[in-house]
Amino acid sequence: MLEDIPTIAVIDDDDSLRRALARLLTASGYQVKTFASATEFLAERLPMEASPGCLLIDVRMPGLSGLELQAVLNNAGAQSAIVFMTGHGDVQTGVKAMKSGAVDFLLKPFTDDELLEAVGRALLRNAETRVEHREIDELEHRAAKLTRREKEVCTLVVAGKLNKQIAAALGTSEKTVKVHRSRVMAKMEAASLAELVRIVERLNRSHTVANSNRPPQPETRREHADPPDDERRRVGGTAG
Amino acid sequence: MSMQTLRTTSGAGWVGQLAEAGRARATRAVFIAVGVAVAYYVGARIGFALTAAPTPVSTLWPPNAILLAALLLSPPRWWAGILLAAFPAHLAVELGSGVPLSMVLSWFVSNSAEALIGAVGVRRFTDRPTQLDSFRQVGVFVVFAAMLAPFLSSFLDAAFVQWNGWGTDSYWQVWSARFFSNVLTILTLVPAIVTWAARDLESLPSVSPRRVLEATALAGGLLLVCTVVFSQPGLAARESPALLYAPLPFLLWAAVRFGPGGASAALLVFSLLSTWGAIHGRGPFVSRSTSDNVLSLQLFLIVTYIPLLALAAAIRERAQAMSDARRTGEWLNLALGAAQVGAWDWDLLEGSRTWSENMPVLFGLRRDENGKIERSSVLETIVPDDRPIVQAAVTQAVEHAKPYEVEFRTARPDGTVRWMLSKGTVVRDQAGRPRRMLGVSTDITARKDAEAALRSESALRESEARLRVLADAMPQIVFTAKPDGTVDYINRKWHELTGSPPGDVSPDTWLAAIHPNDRAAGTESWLASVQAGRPYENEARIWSAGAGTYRWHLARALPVRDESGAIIHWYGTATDIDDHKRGEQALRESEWNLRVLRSELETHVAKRTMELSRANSTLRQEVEVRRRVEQALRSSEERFSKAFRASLDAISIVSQPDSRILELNDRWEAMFGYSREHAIGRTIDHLNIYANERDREAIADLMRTRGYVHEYELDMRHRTSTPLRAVLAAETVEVAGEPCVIIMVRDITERQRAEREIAVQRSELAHLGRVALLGELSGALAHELNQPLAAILANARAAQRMLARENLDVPEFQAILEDIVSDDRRAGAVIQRVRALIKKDETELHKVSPNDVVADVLELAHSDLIQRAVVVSTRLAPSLPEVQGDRVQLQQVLLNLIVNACDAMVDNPPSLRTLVITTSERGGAVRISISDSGTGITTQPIDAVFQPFVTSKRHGLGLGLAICRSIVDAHGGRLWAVNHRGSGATFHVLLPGATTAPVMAPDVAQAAAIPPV
Repeated sequence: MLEDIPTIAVIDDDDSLRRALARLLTASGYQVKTFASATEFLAERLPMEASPGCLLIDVRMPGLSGLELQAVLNNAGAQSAIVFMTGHGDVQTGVKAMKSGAVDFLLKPFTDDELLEAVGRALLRNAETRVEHREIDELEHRAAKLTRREKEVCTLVVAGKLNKQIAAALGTSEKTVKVHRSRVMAKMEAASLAELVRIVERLNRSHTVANSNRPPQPETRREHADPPDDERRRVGGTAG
Repeated sequence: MSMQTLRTTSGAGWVGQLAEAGRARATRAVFIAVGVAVAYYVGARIGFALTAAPTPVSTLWPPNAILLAALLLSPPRWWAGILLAAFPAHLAVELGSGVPLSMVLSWFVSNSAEALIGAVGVRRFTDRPTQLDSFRQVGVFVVFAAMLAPFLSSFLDAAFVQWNGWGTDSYWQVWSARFFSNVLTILTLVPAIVTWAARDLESLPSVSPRRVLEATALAGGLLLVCTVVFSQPGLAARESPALLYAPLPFLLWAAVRFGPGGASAALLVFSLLSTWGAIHGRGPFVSRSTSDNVLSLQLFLIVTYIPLLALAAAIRERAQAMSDARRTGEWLNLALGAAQVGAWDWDLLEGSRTWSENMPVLFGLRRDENGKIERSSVLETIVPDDRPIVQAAVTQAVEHAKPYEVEFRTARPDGTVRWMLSKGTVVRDQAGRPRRMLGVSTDITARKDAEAALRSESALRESEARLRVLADAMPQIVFTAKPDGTVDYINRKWHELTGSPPGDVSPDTWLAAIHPNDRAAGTESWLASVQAGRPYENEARIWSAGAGTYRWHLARALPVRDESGAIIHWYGTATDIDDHKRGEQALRESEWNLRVLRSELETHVAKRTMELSRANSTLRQEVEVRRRVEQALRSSEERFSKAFRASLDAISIVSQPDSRILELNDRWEAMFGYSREHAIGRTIDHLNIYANERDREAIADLMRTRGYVHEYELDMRHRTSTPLRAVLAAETVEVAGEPCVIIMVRDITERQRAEREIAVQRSELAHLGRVALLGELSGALAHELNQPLAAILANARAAQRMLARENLDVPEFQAILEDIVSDDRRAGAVIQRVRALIKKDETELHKVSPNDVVADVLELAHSDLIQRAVVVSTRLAPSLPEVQGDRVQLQQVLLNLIVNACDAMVDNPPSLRTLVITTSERGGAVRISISDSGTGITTQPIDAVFQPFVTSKRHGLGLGLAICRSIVDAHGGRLWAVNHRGSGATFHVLLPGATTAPVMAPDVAQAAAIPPV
């Protein structure tokens, strides 16, 4: 099916290279969309589901540069994985790109193996991200079903409180707490307390990540901006 | 015990003191025996005195009571001894009064029996020494000692009296007389003896004077009233009842205020006096027969005695209970205080509360103006968050009979928060309704703190462990440090890199892995960062055990702060930047080489320039000399000849008609190598000093047509054929009436060589400038080149994949090949352009289109401009005259100006980085203007910016603009700059059109070229 073929967006101001990459990627079995500039890509306004799995972006472009485009996408919470290309790489740019979550940083001219390997990795990352998001969505959907009281009980249960303590804290009887508690377990589809704790922790973590995942604004161009620590970020070796 | 016994027998404590002095048991026993005997004897004498004849029974018979008191006060094992001691006294008393022996013995038996019955009964039913200070003791005493004992023994006594035939009374008369008499005696004496024997004489002096005064008043009042009441002779019987009760207030006074001891003493006095009165026929009991009087007196006394004794005992008991309760309360408070436990009692019906003394301190309760604790303040001390918990617990306890146990926090008035634990229980009435709630509260803050500390510590340890696993997995070096900068953790990568033992983070170990030259600076900047609390960044070489070398690392660290802003920890990383660093170093080295080269070149240029200017000045001097010579020639032959000889130019005078040399000077000889003798008389042609025949003919032609030649440059030659470059001037003169030509030749060989050398130098310098320029653009150029290369590679690979498939899309395949060809051309063009710039060519002048030069330059700078986010706009005049010039050098000038303009705008926001390139015609010349919106030119005057080594760039040499100016100058053009009124500057290049003359009038040209802004 056409839908199952991953889409790759190529964003480069060089017509010839864009064409060449489109051919190579198409020949390798991907769907390709090409854009002559970041602005053109952003004007497309793809919905989140239809967004390409992998963006192949030239660092140096007139108008918005590749890194600025990355910042815009990060701010918008886009899930697409990014592979950068550059004709002349310097360590600083590479580090910056990788820190902001790029999958790879390719130096032109690159071989098709390098390109396809990076694209493959990006798609894998993207798939993981999507699965993660879907799961989190599902868990959030479950959590939304809890009433206010059940949420309170849930919070206290997860905090390791005993029914007695929860009853005292909420000013109700232990029996009521037990009923609430069993409803929480049912709605959260948790078979055990341990599982409930895992679910709640995961939800909390996804919120924390969502709130802290704010890359530096493109206008400020800070050299030593301190992006929040995120285990996904790594300083890549390809730029060296 | 023995002491008590002795006191009892004597009725006073001083005997006890003697006994104590005696110490020895035997001595004491003797004392006791003697005491009992004496007391018995005295008591019996008193009894006889109070016996109303003819009754054989005394109204008040003390010996029996004394015997009973002695038994009550001593242990049973003494009793036999006491009875034995009393026996002789009994014999002595009774036999002395003429009673038959059998009667005497019988009485002793009945009296002893009475004492034994009373003593056994009292001992059996009380558990402590008889003090008559409790209701129970009084009851037991009255029932067994005062009632039962006389009741039983009187049967025996009456029987003995009948049996011995003593007296005249009937059995029942004897029985009743003895019963009442003995009841009265026991009630009168035993309490007095027993209570006073317990009294410690030593404590008497400590009795307060007021008490003594009261006792004295009581005793005096009682004595007075009793004396008045009971010694009145012949008192009318009908008046007696009122008087009879007169002593009662004093007796009550004694009972209430002085307890059993006081009451019994008062009663003793009362009964002695009343009995004495009754026997002697005085007082209210004198009415009928003596025995009737005695009986009614005895009944009266007995009835008075029992309630009074009971009252005194009850009062003492209550006082004792109160003092016990007080002591218990004190102990409780002491215990509560020591245990930091507060107790409380809450009456649920009335709502009143009682607290132990330490509760207000424990809870920090408020007191109102009366010093009472405010009830509302109890709830207020509880932290608002915890109030519902406490209230819920109370409700649970009261309504659902749950045990009350709750932990909550209280806020002290000083703001501190304490954890309290309250436990309690609800007391209910028979119907199960809650009545009171009792409980204790204790401060458990210390325990809570300890628990919290334990919990947070374990949470911290866990998160730290997680962090460490993460840190160990990182490809970078990660380290943490305490707020004082002491490194307390470095991840696995570090240990792998440096080969140091895992876990060893001691400063000695990790410092050893840092390059010795970087240690001091690194440590210093780290400590400075730690002290100032600002992010740390430093580059240092770290030993790589695997590679066996030091590798450059960039270390960074950030402080993590708590809510108060104090630093908790430092987190840092170190990234390998060795490759980057080495690249930088190589670049620096090459820059340095270039700089040395340039400076050498510059010195060389300066030297040549000096030589040239020296030659110029020599030339000027020569011209001056020649002018003078000419003048002299005209004026005086002598002066002419001197000047002629001294001239630095080679001068010859040639006859015009036959071209023979007439005269020549020394310089001519030297220049051409012919001696005077050899040359004079010969023709110039013959001497063959012209290198080219063409020049000779041209000069001859000029002489023929114009009669003079000025500044004719030509090649000549020495006699040895050495070529000479010379400037020739010739003029027709008349010497001695003969038409002659005077020819002056100046050797300019040297000057020209210097000029040529300078041109070469300049071109070399321009070349270096171009190389440096390309160096600056290298990144952009690499990009420009890599772009088509990447496209070619991708296309080629795509084509290969297409070929691998079965049906080939031929048109697409052709398109790919076309793209490859065009990309190849593109790359070739880039290389061509770069090669042209980098080529070290002699200056070549061609006709060049200025707009083409602009287009070339923009191609070269294309990528660089994109990277710097500079927007370029061009306003090119459509039909411009061509200029005569070196295309590469003109490109160099424009490229240099563009790069400078970009540099000037580097601090602008991207939207304000605009570059405008304009070409226009100015009176046959072409002006190219490059305007930026950057910082403008800061040198004073502006033109100083074209001087060598003047630069505003960090890495610039300041040669670029100097080279540009020299290039433009060499093209006969002008290069100048103007600052904009706002920001930025414009550089103008004015070049002469190929068909027009060089722009020689700078002032006029400048006036026309300066833009109106």
